[in-house]
Amino acid sequence: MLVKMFKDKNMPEQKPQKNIFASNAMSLFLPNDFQSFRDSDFIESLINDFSIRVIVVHGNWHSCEFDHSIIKRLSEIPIPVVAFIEGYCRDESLELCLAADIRIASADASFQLGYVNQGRMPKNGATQRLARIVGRGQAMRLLLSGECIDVSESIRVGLVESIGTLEDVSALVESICKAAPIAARYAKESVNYSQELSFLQSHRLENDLSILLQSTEDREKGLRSYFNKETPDFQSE
Amino acid sequence: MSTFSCIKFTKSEGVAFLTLNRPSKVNAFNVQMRDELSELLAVINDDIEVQGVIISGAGEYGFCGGADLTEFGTAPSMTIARYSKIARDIWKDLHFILKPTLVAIHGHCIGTGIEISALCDFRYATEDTVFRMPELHLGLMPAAGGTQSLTNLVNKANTLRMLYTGEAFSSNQAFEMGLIDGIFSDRGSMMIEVEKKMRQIIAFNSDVLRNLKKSVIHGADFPLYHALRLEQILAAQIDNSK
Repeated sequence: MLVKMFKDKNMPEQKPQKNIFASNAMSLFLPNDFQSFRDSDFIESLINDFSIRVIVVHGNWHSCEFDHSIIKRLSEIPIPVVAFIEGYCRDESLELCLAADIRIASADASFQLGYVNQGRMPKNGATQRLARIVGRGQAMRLLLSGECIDVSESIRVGLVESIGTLEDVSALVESICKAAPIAARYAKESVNYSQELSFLQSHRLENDLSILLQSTEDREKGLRSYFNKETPDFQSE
Repeated sequence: MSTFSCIKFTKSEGVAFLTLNRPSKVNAFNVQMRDELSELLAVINDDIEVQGVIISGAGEYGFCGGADLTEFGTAPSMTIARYSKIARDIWKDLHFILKPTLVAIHGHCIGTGIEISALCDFRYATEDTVFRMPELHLGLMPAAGGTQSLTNLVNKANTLRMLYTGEAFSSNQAFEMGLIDGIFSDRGSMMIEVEKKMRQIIAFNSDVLRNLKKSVIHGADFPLYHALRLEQILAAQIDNSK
């Protein structure tokens, strides 16, 4: 009961708005909207809400003042997640964007893992996710040197996928919203396991998920639309 | 020499050429093609004359236009569909074949076409090639290893991006991402050059090539300690045979 009261008092009533991007996209603005992530019910509701096709994390990356447990929570969300990084992104903020599926950075973005300079080490995934994204060599370089890299270097090492503006992100989001939502979630799940399982196990997982997808209405609708040369209107069924 | 209808198989001085051969359907991958490829990979694996494999597509439209969707949903049940996919897992055969594999891509390279390519050792394409992974936008998901093999080549983020958006991308983009190893201006010069490359490779000791590939492919599935042991054992086999 006490816990509940505590939560109620600290939880803002308002949930993040859905509508900065496409109507099926949820915008999470750093750090304000991240208050909601403290509420595990909110995550649950997100998992069960198939009207949300994609989550966009953007805003003030310079501030690392958010509850770091949201990094883990964000990584557990089965919905596609895009991060749009502007300005200086360091330490926990950088670890937060590593938990996204796709990273787009503005031309003025820069990245730094300054933990080592402060006699600390990361605890929100940088020693794990970074190496899986940029390879062990570049991960070691960034972690051990504490070097700050600009956006072109971050593209070169594979830390971000492209340079873009909010409009570019909006276009990307719109195109993701047109994918069949259950298929997108399964593809994400399968891709995320790809580096954790052996070839045979990971192929079995992909195979099983693709077979499970045969039970969805959207799959039939997608194929029907393809043959009728129509644009499918997926409903997450 | 072949009695296969969907794949053309020829052999020339140690190199096996597999050509996806349904040109009027942009070489759409169907069950017949799967079964033929399965049979041919087994033949190639056992044929000591074959030292390397080059895969390409017949016709001007492209390497492979993706899976043949007209056959989707023809399995009697999901259980049977699952079983038959496991029983005839040609993606496993292609991945584990211990002879160098190279794919020469042109025109359309869609869905399954990309997935076949991702399971080969070397990938080259003509500059006008158009790549696309449309599955999620058809209510489907990749099922020929796309969610697995692509992440090894182009990382998770690029894989998810091409899957989520389903958008077409060029040879240059594919090259920048690391999806292909080189670009050629036209198909004719590509086929000549890739054969040269393959012949350079198979000129090496075939036992070395086999153990090398075995170490890379199987080692990737082991924890590092065991993978290093595997490498030592495979290298010792080579040293002892001298």
